[in-house]
Amino acid sequence: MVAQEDVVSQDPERAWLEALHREHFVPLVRVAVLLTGDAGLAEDLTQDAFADLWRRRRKLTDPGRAAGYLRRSVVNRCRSAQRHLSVVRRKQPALLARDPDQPDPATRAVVLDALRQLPTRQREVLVLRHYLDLSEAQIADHLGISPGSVKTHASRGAAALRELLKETP
Amino acid sequence: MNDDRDIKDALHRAAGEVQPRGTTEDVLARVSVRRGGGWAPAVLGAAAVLALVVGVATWAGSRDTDPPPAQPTTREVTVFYSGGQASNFRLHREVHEVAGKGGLLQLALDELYEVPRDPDYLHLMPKDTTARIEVVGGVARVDLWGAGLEPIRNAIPEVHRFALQAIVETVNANSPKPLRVMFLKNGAVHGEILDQKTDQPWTAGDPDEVMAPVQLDVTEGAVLNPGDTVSGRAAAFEATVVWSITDAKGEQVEDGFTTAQECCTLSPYSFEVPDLPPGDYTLTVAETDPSGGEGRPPASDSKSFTIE
Repeated sequence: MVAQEDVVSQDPERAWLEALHREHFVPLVRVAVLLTGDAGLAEDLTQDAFADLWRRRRKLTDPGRAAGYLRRSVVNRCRSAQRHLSVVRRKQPALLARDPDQPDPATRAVVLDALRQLPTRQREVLVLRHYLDLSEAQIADHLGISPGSVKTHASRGAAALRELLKETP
Repeated sequence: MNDDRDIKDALHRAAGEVQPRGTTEDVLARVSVRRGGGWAPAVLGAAAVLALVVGVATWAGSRDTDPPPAQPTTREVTVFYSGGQASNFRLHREVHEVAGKGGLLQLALDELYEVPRDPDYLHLMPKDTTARIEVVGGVARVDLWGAGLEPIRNAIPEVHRFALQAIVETVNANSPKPLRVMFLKNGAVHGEILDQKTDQPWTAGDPDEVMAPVQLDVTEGAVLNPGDTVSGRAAAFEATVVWSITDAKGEQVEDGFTTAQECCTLSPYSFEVPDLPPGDYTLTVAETDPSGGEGRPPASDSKSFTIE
């Protein structure tokens, strides 16, 4: 272990990745869980986002914006994965059935199920706003929509989520 | 939004139970070139659909020789992906915004390894390879490097053909002038690469031969409004293009048809987004099936979009 840490500390790029990973990996996986409802997929997509960042590290125009790049990458990957899932569910529903031996904890399952019922934009805005505490301007930038739309999605999303959670026994 | 403490608490409770264990070693393992690898499983027919679930991305090797960036840049590149239908690997176009310094053609080839925005599309770039480009005169020399340049056993020839053709079309779409593409393998000209003859340069194909017969020019995940014009290109029987819209539950909420400018050759078509309430939808355009089910399945293209 000591030898490995020494190697890492000698490589500034590797140290940069380690620091980013330490700070952002867990929160981003959790964001991905909220967006996709699938913990395994969330971790996979987040690792892919880090791998993409690492591959492009020398082309990054501003390393200080790496966290924003990662957030955008994870949100986009989650959106794309949701469509993959819907395609697969149409074609192979049985293969994607939840493993009955690995049920989600009740709280998580209820909230994730409610989130899944929201339109994509509302879900994304709610998660970025209330899980990552991003500002309206940051969310607008990440999602490529106007701050006014962020406000609208946040308001509608919160109201819809409350209703859905209220309906849950 | 400041009064949404209940929402915040619910999200944190739900997500806080997740304890991922990934490490940077896992990240680097995804990036590194693995020897003896095959192709993206996506090209192998029905299995492709499942592969896509986990966001198949066949990362190329790191570009360790690239110089460090100097100025911030964001540019658009046009890339071509396969439609990914077992009977039709023809190409679809996507426009991606890319950050980075370097030649536009190299950025475009790098982007070809990325996951398509449209989840129905596949990239056919051989896994465990990188593509490097150099333009000399009217010829682009595209050097495919890596251990993954063996043809897929028992694959239909279209897979290999369109893997290389996608590179040719991508190069030409991002070049101000037409370029022939000479393929190299690990730095040298070969008579065959991926079971395709590569002793002579390739040229951009006839669109009616290489492009998908029905294409929709809508960005995946776009925000649209009722009355917006949707456009695309189609080579359709009697120039008829049918469209349908399904809601988030998969139920069809609207359908219609439009006419392309010409019959049976790729030509533009358009129609307006109908009145729909805010929500997430999927728009599908397709050719009609004059064979009545006897011929190949009708070609189609679909995109998810949001009405705000």
